[in-house]
Amino acid sequence: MALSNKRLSIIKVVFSLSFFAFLLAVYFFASGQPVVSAPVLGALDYPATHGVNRRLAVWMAAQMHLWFAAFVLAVPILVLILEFIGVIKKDKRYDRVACEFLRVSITAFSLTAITGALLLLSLIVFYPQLMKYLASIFGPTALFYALFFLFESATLYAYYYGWGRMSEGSLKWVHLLIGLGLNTAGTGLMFVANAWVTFMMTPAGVDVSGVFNGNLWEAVNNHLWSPMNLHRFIANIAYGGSIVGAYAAYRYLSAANEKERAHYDWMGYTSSLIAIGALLPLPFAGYWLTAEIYSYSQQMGITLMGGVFAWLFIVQAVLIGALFLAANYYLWCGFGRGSYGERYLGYVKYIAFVIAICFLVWFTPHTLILTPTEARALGGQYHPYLGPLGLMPAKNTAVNIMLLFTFLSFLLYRRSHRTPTVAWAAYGKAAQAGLFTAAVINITFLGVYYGYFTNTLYKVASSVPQVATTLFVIVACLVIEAFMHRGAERTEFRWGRMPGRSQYALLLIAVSFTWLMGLMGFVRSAIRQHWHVYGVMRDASAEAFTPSIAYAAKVVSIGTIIFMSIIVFIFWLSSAGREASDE
Amino acid sequence: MNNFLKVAAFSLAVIGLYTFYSVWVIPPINPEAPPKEAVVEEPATVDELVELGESVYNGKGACSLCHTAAAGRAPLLERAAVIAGQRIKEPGYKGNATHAEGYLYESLVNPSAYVVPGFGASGSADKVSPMPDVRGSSIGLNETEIRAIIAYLQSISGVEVTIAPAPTEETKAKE
Repeated sequence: MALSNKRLSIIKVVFSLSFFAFLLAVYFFASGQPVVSAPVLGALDYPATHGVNRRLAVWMAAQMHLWFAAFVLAVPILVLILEFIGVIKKDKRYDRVACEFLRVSITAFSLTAITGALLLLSLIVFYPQLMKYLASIFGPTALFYALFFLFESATLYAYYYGWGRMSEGSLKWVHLLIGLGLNTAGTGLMFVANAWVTFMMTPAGVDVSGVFNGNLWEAVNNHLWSPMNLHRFIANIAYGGSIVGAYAAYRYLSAANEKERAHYDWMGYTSSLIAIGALLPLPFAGYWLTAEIYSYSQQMGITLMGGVFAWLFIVQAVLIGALFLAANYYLWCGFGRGSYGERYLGYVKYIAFVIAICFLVWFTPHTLILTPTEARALGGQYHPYLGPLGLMPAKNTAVNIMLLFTFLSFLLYRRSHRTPTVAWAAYGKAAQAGLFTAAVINITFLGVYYGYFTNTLYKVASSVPQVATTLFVIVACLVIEAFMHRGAERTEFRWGRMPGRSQYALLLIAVSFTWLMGLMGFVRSAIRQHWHVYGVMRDASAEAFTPSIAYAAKVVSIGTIIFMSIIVFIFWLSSAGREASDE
Repeated sequence: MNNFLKVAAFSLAVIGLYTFYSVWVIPPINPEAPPKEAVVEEPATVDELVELGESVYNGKGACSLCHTAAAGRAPLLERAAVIAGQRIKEPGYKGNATHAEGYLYESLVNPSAYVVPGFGASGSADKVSPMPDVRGSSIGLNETEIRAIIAYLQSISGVEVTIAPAPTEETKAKE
């Protein structure tokens, strides 16, 4: 086994170096290109594909690469955090689980590079003119990309293979430093790739006639670059946590003994906590991204939220509703791990009711697609009573309240194994209840007043104080909670006692996340409509039309099944490798 | 193996449900085909110019996306040509136009020259317009189309259409 591991490592290193060389070649090719204006393309500028649907091929390669990339960028972040907590708490459990996380993802690194190479190749083959134009602007960034890739590969192998050797004393800190380097390189890679993608949506440094006359930094730092970086960074963490949670859930269901079950229960809880923790700020990063889209082009913003894609956000609401309900359900099932969990079960129905109402508000469409007869019967495209719920202020209000009540589920879960003993505990709880109530009133007031009684331009702006309210209450309640539970009466969580059905909540989160990422990837790209580079370089290929949501859903579903199948295979490889090492 | 099959079946069922909902439950909407890059012929009469303006206003120009009561994102333009004449005389007007027609042209190609209070880009204190220069970006109108829009706005405002079908030396000098 040791020999095959060594061979595998050699193959990975050779592959990484080949990919690095490939990227360097792209850089040198690109750096030789003169800066040109965006070409006006005709159908003949696209090579014949002989029955291959060029857009579908690029779409699938891009989506696979994004899923793998999100996973392998997120896992090292989780691993580093867990390793650091383990060092601070002097708890070896964190270290073990961190190492297992990394083992799960190690094979996915090679697959990320393979799908990345496939994407690059398919773009060069199917869209040569677009790549030529982008390379003429972004050529030098390919060098950064290649260097980040090389550094990431080197630190990854050092981090993984050095885990055992650098486990004690000052070497442990060196190991943590390597982990930090790995994460910095990974995040840098993502930032570089994001620059290319966001330039295609919101090109900067281009004059009205489409000639690029800006500098490289202008092109990189375009309207969407920063919000996209933040959104993807947070989403990757949530996604990585959810995939590892699904792995733990599967291992929990297949556990051979109590010890194994307890281990995977703890692993599932830890990873899902990270996933849910990252899920909480994600809608806010999404608002920033959307606001920047509107800021760049009202037309693009309206296409996104009010045009043909309006219904896509209803599908998104269904998925996010499912994510929140599954996350809450998992926490409610977790009440059984603590000795005092039973006393909070009565609150579950109320929390579930509020979350369901918020979900329904989010689910309400803005405009309805009606026949003329139906529209006449209804008195317009909007429902007379439910219509206002379709607007963004109502949805912002709903999502903030949903987040607050998910946080409440978490708070109750944490209390299921401890009882405060400080004299002021009753006042502390009253203060928390007061904060919650005031927050719900404030969020609702802001949503109703700014959303329905002011100019349209201020409607979405009301989301900022709403978000601030939510974040303030979460932080304030956590601070009160921490002080209130100093010296509290505690019992240990009984790991491994979760019902089997709770693990399906973790699986639901992972599958929903994967599907949701595919769907949102589609809409992000589709709002460019018939443009390669929005407003600058028009797509003249036969596939320039915007696909329908139904078509996109089928593509995303097929992609999800392929991706999940590969992930299951990776999990199998990981566990097979571990069993062989144990032997 | 039993657990593996259960987990696989569950995952497939979840994916199937999302697909079913997206394909069969929500209304089927097929986005419009990309607009064709047609060569705009110079209108021969004022009526043709106004007709072209209306078609650009509601189509390629994408004006009606924002300039509607429902969207509420930009000023309504039903009386734009009348208001334009009054606006250039207001003390708050800081643009360069000296007549109503020039104001409309300026609003199309340099929208930030003057921003109607309450309609500036977020955080700009009404100094920057969220509207793009209609000659660039995804809109890309040519001079004939811009003049056609001005003619259309004059027409719906109920004032005399002062734009000639083809640019004369006089209008060129005004612009």
